[in-house]
Amino acid sequence: VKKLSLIAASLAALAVAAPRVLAVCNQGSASTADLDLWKVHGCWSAYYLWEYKAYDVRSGDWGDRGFYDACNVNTEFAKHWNAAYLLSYGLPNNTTNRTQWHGTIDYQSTAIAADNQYHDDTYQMATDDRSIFGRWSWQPFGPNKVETSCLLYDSTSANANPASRGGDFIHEGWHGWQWMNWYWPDHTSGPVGNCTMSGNACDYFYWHPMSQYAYGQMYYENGTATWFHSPNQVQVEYLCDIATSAASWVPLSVRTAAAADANQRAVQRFINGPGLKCSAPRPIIYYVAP
Amino acid sequence: MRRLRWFLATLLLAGACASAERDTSNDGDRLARDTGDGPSLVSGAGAPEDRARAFVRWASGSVATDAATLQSRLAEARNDRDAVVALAAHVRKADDHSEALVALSLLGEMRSPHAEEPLRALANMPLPAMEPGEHPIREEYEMLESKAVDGLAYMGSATADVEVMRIAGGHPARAVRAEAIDAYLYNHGDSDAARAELERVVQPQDRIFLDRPRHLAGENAAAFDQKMAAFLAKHPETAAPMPAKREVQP
Repeated sequence: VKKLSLIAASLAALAVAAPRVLAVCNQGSASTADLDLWKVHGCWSAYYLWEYKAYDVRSGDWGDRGFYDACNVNTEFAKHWNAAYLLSYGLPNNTTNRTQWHGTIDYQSTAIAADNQYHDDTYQMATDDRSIFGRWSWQPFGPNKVETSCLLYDSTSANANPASRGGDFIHEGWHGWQWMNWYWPDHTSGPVGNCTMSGNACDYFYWHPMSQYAYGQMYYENGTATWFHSPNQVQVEYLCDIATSAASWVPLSVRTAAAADANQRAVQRFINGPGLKCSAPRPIIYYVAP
Repeated sequence: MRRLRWFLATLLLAGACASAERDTSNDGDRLARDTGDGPSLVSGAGAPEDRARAFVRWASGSVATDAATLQSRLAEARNDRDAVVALAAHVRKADDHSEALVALSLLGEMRSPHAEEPLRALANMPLPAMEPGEHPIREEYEMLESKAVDGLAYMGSATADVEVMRIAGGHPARAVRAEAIDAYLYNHGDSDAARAELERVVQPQDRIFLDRPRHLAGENAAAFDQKMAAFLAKHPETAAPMPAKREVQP
């Protein structure tokens, strides 16, 4: 058994060390919003040592994407945990004068890897497929797979900011919620109805009062449209929460990018009409204490 | 096996951190947060373009406690044509989308008469063609043009209002038209008169944007829920159908 373990360990080590040829995402620069958020924590090692386990980010998949260079904000792994940091700490979660759609516990539980009330086990992969932002896929053996693409990491891409990236973690995680609750983890092909996107990108927006779900209850559903969310919807709600309710230390560039992404998605991706309008249409979105 | 893998990875990661804590080699001072009064657009070292770049960089990282400084810096530059022109030029020179969005936000927030023409041009940039599936470059343009529309509407001049109204009715991107409708309403106090003006120009499929509930920064759930209920009462067609369960699990 010991020999077998040694052989298995050697094979695993070889697999980890095997060169990859597909890492084409930009590892040389970070967006302004990523840099601005990075300044807030300055590279917090305890956090990323938690994050890679919490999200199941594997060295074999991310080794040439900054996994061993976690304090270099230009790499994909650093950007991955930068977005997770915003997800973990960016919202104040006030309950007395509530201003958020959902709480950190909802968004983070949807995004992280471990089996919970929101989904079965998942793990995180990077993909160089630039035709998508992200993808959830069911796996017959082991955790389901969440892939996020260069469009969320390359500094030249509009969605390469911590809010949009975290929003995509939640979006893909919500496909896992759909699967766990016996709904098809899929979008509707567009354009259809109010949704102007082509391809597999359209959802319904299931309107619910902001105060309907207690924090920690976003997973709840009862088979009706009254207690339900689609992937694009949870993404828009998170982005809108960052834009309008983020903690006072969240930089302007992060909140501005979040609002722009929320509003773009809300107009384009819902079959039954636009989702909510997020933030006042004033040029600068000033922080307002709840 | 998984625990062993994590343990080994943690050791390697921790080692990497020890040797590379805050690798700033590619970013220089951009990783150092300036908590001072912020650079001026109208005075200090360098050409107006350099000051615009420094100001946008500072503003992009600004937080709630910087708001008063931000406003005073913009106010002092409002009538300085060179400063405004340099800021407008920086929108196109920005390193990335998030910086361009902030530069546009600053330009609009100035309410400078010198900003109106650049904002008009930025709101009407030729759009890249739509591609099948995700089309991030097209979306980037639409988000920037929407932000330019926010600035035009905030300007409050008669000529800017005419342009916002034209965009609300005829811009090729629906997201930009939606932003123009909302911005015109917002900057006219959501009045019935503004709504009536818009009703005359908006396309039939865009009329719903006249009623869409807007969630404001800091607005509490009770206030938003009232707006949402009014919207749903007026637009029952926006109710989503019952979600369908899948029948079999592979």
